[in-house]
Amino acid sequence: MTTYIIRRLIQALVVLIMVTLLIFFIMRLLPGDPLLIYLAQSAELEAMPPEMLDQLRHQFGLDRPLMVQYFTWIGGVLRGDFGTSIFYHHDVGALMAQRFPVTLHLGLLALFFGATFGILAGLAAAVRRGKWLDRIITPLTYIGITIPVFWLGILLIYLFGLKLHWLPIAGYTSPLENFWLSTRQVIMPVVCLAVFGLAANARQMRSAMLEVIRQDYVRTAWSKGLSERRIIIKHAMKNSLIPVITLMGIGVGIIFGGSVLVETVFAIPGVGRLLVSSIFAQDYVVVQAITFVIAVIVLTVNLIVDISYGWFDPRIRYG
Amino acid sequence: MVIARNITPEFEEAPPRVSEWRRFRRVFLSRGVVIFGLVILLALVFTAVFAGWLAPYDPYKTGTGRALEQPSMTHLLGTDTLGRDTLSRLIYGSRTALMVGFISVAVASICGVSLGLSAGYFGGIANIIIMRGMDALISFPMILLALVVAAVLGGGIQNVIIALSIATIPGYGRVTCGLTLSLRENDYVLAQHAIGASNLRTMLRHILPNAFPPLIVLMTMQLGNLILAEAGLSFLGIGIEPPGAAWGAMVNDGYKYLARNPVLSFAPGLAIMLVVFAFNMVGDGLRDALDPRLRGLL
Amino acid sequence: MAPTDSIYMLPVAERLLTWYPNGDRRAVLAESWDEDPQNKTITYHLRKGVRFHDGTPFNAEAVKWNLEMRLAKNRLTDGKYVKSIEVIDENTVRVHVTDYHNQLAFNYGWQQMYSPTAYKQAGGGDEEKSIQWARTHAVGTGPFKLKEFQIDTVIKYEKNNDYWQAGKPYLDGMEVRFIPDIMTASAMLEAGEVDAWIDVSAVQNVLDLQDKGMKVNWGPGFFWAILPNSSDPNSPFANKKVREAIEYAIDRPALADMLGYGKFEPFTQMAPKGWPGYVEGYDPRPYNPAKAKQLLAEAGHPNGFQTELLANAVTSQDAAAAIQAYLASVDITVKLDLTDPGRYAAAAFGTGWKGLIFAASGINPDSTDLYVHFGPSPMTYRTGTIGKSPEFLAANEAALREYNKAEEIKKIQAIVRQGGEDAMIIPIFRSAQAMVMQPWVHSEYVLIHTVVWDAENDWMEKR
Repeated sequence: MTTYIIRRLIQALVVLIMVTLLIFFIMRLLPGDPLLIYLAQSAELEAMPPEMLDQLRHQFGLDRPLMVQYFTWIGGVLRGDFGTSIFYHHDVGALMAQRFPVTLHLGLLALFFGATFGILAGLAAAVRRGKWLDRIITPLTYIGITIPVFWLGILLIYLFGLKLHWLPIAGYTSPLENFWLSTRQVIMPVVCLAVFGLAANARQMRSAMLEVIRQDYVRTAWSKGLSERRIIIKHAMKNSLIPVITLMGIGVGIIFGGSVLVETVFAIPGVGRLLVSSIFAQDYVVVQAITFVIAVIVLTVNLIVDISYGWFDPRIRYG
Repeated sequence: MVIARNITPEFEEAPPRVSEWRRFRRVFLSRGVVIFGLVILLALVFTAVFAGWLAPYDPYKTGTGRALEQPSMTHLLGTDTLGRDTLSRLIYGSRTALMVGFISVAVASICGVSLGLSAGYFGGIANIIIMRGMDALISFPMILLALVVAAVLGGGIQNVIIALSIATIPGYGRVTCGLTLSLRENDYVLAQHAIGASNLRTMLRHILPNAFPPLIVLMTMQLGNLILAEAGLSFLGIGIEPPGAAWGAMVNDGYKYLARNPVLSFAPGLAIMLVVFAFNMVGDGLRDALDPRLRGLL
Repeated sequence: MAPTDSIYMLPVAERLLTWYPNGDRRAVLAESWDEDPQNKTITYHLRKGVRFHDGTPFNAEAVKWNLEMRLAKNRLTDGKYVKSIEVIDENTVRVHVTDYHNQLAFNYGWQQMYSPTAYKQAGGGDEEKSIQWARTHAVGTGPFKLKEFQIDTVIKYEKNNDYWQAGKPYLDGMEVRFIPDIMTASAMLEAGEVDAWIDVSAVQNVLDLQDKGMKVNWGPGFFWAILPNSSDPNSPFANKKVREAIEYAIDRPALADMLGYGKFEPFTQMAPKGWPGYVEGYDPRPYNPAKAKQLLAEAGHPNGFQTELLANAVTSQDAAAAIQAYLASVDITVKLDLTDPGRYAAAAFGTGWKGLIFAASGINPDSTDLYVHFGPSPMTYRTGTIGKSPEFLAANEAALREYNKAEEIKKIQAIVRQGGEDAMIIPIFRSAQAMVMQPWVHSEYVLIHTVVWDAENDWMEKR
């Protein structure tokens, strides 16, 4: 077990190095010039003579050889210094410290509700297979995995924000500042983020449960006369959870991907929106930093998922 | 939803070669939703092939009607901001959807499968570099990766295809690599070595066919995901270039007029949902029919 | 974006000069100014008794510091002419220049003024720290103090109780929230979550909201044009006939009508109707595809040719598609290169473009946008991609050195006519920029230009 974990950690480290190389050099391939974009965006109000470019280029170290830039960046990351944004002219670490908690707040809620309701819905659909509950849940899961997230967001805004006035349409407030407002504001975004995972979990859970219910040990449990609830929880559920756990590992990635869209629709100052605007501004420094942190989170979660398989299914041995 | 993780422990032996066409057909067609999905896909292909005949107007021609006309007998689904016929654009959009889907899947699966095969077959350092590279790719959410790639390359259908292909390579790589690893030590593969067969021949003739069932299922389901991802990219401003008609872009253009002309975004939105649904269902059906043990993994 | 670069600092930091709606120059932090072309000096007489939000006086030293700061950072329009900045007394500052033209006084006076003391204190002598501070803070003389600045998210303002205009501002505070999505913003206004939606270019949404009882300020919008790469001799657009053909090929009234729902003004020349530079009745090339084809044939492209059009995917997708369709009808195959705003801006203002670009520029009420964007040393399209005839440049020089307003306007009209004769660019339409607000909100924002905002005059009815 320990050797397995150590091996996985080393692997994860190798992956991380690859991630840094990938992201660093992909961003350098962009055809534009981030400094020009920065200057051009402020052209409405001020002049921007060409000499400024060289000045800025030097200031951001963009005139140095690529490998030097790469190692400077890695060196900074190791010290916890992510550099200064070219476009925002802001410390990237500080920017991320503002934005990541927002995305994590929404993301964790979405993961939690996606998993809980997904598992429950799948369970219910499986146990009541073919009954009315199943007939409602299963088509809904189809919608969940097929609807474009941003479109769902707009439909929700239109219905619950504009027509029914139940929820505030956009924006974000920290729950520490105003819990009630914050909760009302995050409902729609969290629904949007969670819906795919919820539906996928439910589908997965339903088919896994149906599979497990047919297995010998469950039949044995039935024949022993154990109660339905006990059988489901004790025997069937635990074993059907493995694929769902896998899904949750992948769900983290999906949440970050979805946050890009959802934060745009709901005007939420999270890391997804920062990433999109930084990509458009070709702000290497910010894009590098955010994708790096996201990759670290995704890798860590998947590592935990892999290791936790053993707990859920002792049949899995670590090779 | 496509899952392609930790597939290795599940395969101790090669899945049986599919020879029972009848069993396949029986299982595949046993569920109503799968048949429904199949019908949708056939209709999609039909629409794409005969778009020129089916579309009442030229989908690219501006001013076939006034801008933002409501649905009427002349324009069944109304017109968009440039007075183009929505129905015609919807019909032509099926071509874009299929093109983006199939080319991306083809490119990604060819790259992913060859990388995965080599990684699994040769093992050692090749395995480490290729598979960790795949892991690195997979640690970016697909839409983010596609967004960055598309930002590098610019918009346009071919760049969207490239972006989506790169983003989906790892799925194929992992499935193939996992299978290859477990098959490599198989008796008949070892026997191939003994009789001096070339590595390439062994890989293509004896290992690859075993990977077909999971790959076909994965490809089918990816098709749906790609169409969704294309819609997301369009929303963020990176998508198919005009005058091309793409459903994602149509939803994105149309939703601004949700209150006035809901059909502008609902028609392409529903088209996306139907097709994504169909690919998923057919993928499910294929999985059950080809190899039920994949359930929970793909 | 740092506050100093943002139009959202207009309520916080004021300028020495700005415009009246008719284009006349209006003194704000200056009381008056003297221009002396002979001796090449500009003297600003500053308003007395004005204080920055930190309590320090706004005076000649502060103006000198602000201008020098911008000079040092290369961010002063026409800064290359500045020889020295002289403090005459507490309330008089004089700029000595090496060469003179009639835009200098305004360009230098257009700068927003920030408190030097606040800037220096924030860093405690460390320039780097001061720069960091200035990225999220601003201390000016304006009607509102900057309370909170969160990049791309929210800006909060509070009333400046010691504002120099007695009794103003009327509002106790303001909050600007950044909503990236049009539908979301529109829904927020409609649901009453916000009082106003500023800087809106989506005409259809504005009209919908107007139908629902919202109040609308229609501003001049932007000057949209197709700019050719005509300086490159290998480009087809180096040939005037090709540029003329493009102008003939596009039905601008129909295009403006389709995209602007009656709110866009189709152009016939390089100035909008009603602006000082407008030449009455001048319409050199109305829609005529047959003529366009004939010109193309004369230019050696009887079967048309292929080119590309760069456009901002966020703002101009529809317009670009429509232009593509018009040019296709005269056999010019246009490959659209729709880019994110970043790459668009970099091409338009930095590196130039290959074929055509569909671009927007601001419209000044005094028509001086002609110099700013298309003149001999333009501020925005300064990549040299647009070929300019010697006659056009000479016309600009003549206007820039004219100090009589009425004469200057005649000379500006001469520029417009020369640009038209050269088919230098293909003016398409004036878009509409609006501020949409609840019926109880009163503001004049956007009426002159999006870069002028007298927030001290904004008020709301009690409800």
